[in-house]
Order: sequence, then structure tokens, then C-alpha cells
Amino acid sequence: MKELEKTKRISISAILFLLVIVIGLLTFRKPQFSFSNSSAKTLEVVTNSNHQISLDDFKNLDPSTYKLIDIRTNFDFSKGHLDNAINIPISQILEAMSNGSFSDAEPTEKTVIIYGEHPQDADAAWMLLFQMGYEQIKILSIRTYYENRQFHVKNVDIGKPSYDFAETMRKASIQKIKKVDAKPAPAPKKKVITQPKKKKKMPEGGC
Amino acid sequence: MSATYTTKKILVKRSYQFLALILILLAGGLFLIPKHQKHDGIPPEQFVKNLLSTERYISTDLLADRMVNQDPVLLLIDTRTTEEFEKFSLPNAINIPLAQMFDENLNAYLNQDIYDIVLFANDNFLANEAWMIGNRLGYQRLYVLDGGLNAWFETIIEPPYPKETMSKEAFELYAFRKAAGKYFGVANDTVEIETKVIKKKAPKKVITKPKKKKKMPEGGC
Repeated sequence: MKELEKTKRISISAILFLLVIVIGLLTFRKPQFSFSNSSAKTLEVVTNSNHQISLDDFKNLDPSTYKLIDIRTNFDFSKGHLDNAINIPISQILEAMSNGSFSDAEPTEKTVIIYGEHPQDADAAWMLLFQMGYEQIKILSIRTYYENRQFHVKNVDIGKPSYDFAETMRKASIQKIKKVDAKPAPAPKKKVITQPKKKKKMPEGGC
Repeated sequence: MSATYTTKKILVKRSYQFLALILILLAGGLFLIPKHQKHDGIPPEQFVKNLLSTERYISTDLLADRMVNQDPVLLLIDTRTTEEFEKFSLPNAINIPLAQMFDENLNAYLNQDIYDIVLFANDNFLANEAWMIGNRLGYQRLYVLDGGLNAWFETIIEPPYPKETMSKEAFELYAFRKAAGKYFGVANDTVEIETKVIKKKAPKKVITKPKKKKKMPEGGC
């Protein structure tokens, strides 16, 4: 009978062991989003700076070879946007990936071109997407703004200094010289020392 | 030993073997679980939140103020190329070109928790990229100079004079920028130099002795 009790105990512990494994497997979940490109690789692509495209080059592209994504807010997008652009605000990119609406813009053979208000805004979306594994992406180096009820697009030379810094600094550090005609110094006034007149004393004494 | 005892023993042994087999199989199953690639730094959800926040930008006026007051925890990092850095940079800045961000001895400046690091370049773009790469890896206390050196020159070195209709604050800001500019080497004061200085001969001093008045003889008849 001792042996039977032993088997009972063993089988109970085995079942518990199995349960733990089954529960573990069921609750095992991969994180929904993860980065797949390393930072070092990203840095390499960034420094080669072939992830940007200028407005002129963009205009020469055949519209069937790319997909255009506007990452500004819905409100800005509704006021004006480039032709054929899809609006996916940067805050909703992950959401769009999970519900599948991003797959429409997912790079296959087409290059995805991103633009925003400033190139650095588009660059933020680029950083996110590239590090998550989308590699066929470029950013459009433009600035977009709304003025006089019209949507404007302007090309931006990224990283271009608007001053010759060293030269501007050199000029600024020189003290400005103002030439002033010297006025002839006024002649010193003669000091007039007035001696108090002695009052004529009546001659003392006398007869 | 009775016959029933031996059969029981065999049965027990079999169940042991069976259990052991199941455990081995399950252990083998662990290898089948898809590999979950682990990456450095923060998850993408957090990264998006950080990207949307504008907390990372520091204005040129605030930076100038901190530099003038010699903030001990401030560290400036120029992310442009060495060539550009040598031509001109902000005072006391360290040059870490973006491409060399992961060099061992340079990376130690970025991945730390002692200084408030202000990254800058000609405009926002390059410094922002350095910030984003650093932020993903979880680097602390990184900031970006808003507008970069272009904004620095527009505001601190060559500030525009406010219009007369502008508020009092605009004039105060202008005065601050002028004063800060002086600290950074801009000569605001004009030096007046006199030209055509004609020296006149000093007239001879004529010393006139006061004549002694003849005194009336004292006394006497």
C-alpha cells in the first residue's frame, strides 16, 4: 500500500507540473511592437544621408513608384496636403500597424515617402519605422505651411548654415569706431583773484 | 515475493518512465518557442511618446542664460563634422560628430546621468537625429538646441531690434540678448575716436604783480 500512495503523490505532482507548463505557454505572448534594426545600423544609414529626398527629385519621380504619407495631424491634413498623400499622424502609426490600415502603405516594391511640417518631424517617423524594420522609406525635405488660405510647400536645405559663423563672429567682435570731430578745447578762463579792498583806516591817533 | 507485488512494481516503474518521457518531450518543446529578440532600450510605444513631446528643445535664450551663469551641469555637444567644429562652435563645446556617436570614448559623454547635455548643429535636424538615436537606447538628460546655430546667430549674436509697438517684454528680451551677446564676444559699444585734434599753443601766463598801494603814513602830525 505504501507504493500506491507514492504513485498517487507522484501523479499529482506531475499533473501540477504539466499545468504550470500549459499555463506558461498560453500566457506567453510576444510584445506587439518591437525594434528590429539596431541603433548602429540606423546610425549608418542616417549618416550616409540617403534617406532624404529633395522636392525637385520628388517631382521627377513616377507617382506609381512611391506611396506618400502625411504625418501631420488630421486637422492640418484637411486644410491642405500634397496630391495622393495618405494621412497617418505620427501618434497613430503604431495603431495603424495593429489594425492593418498601415499595411496599405507598407513598403513592398514601392518606396514610402514621408513628409510633415518640418523635415525633422518626418525624420521622427522615419526613425520609428526604420528601427522597426521598414527599410524602403525616405523623407521629403520640405517645409509645409498654411498661409493666406493656401497650402504652401518649400524645399529645405537640411543642415545648411544661414551664416558664415566664423566670419560673422569676427566682424561682430570688432569694436565699431565712430569718428568724431574734435571740438577745440575752450580756452581756460583767467582766474581773477579779487583782493578784498582794504578799507582805508582812519589814521590812528593823531592830534 | 508474490506475483502481484512484482507486477505492481513493474507498473510503477512504467509510470515513472512515462512521466519522465513526457517531461523530456516538454523540455524539448522549449526549443520550439519562437525566439523573442531582445533589443536595447525602450519599447516603440514609449519611443513614439518621446518623439511627440517637445520637452527636448531648449531655446537659445535659455541656453545663453545658463551659459552666462556658468551652470555647472551644462554640457554642450556639437554634432557637426570636425571640420565645421574647428571653424566655429559655441564656447566650451565638445565635438562628437553624429557618425562617431558610438565610438567608445565619445559615447561615454552621451550615455551618462550627470550633465544636462545640449546637442546642437546648424539647424534642428542633425542634433535631433542624435537625440532620437540616444533616446531609443535610453540615454538620459539629452536636450536639443532649438533652431541650432542658425537660431543662435539670429537671436543672441545679431538680435533684431524690436518694433516700437511691441511689448515691454520684447525690449527686455532684446536688452538681455544684447548683454548676452557681449558675453559671447560681440562688441556692442562704439569707441569714439577724435579726429583733427589741433593743439593750440598755450598762452603765456602773465603774472601781474599787484601794485602796492602807497600807504598813508601812519600817525604824525
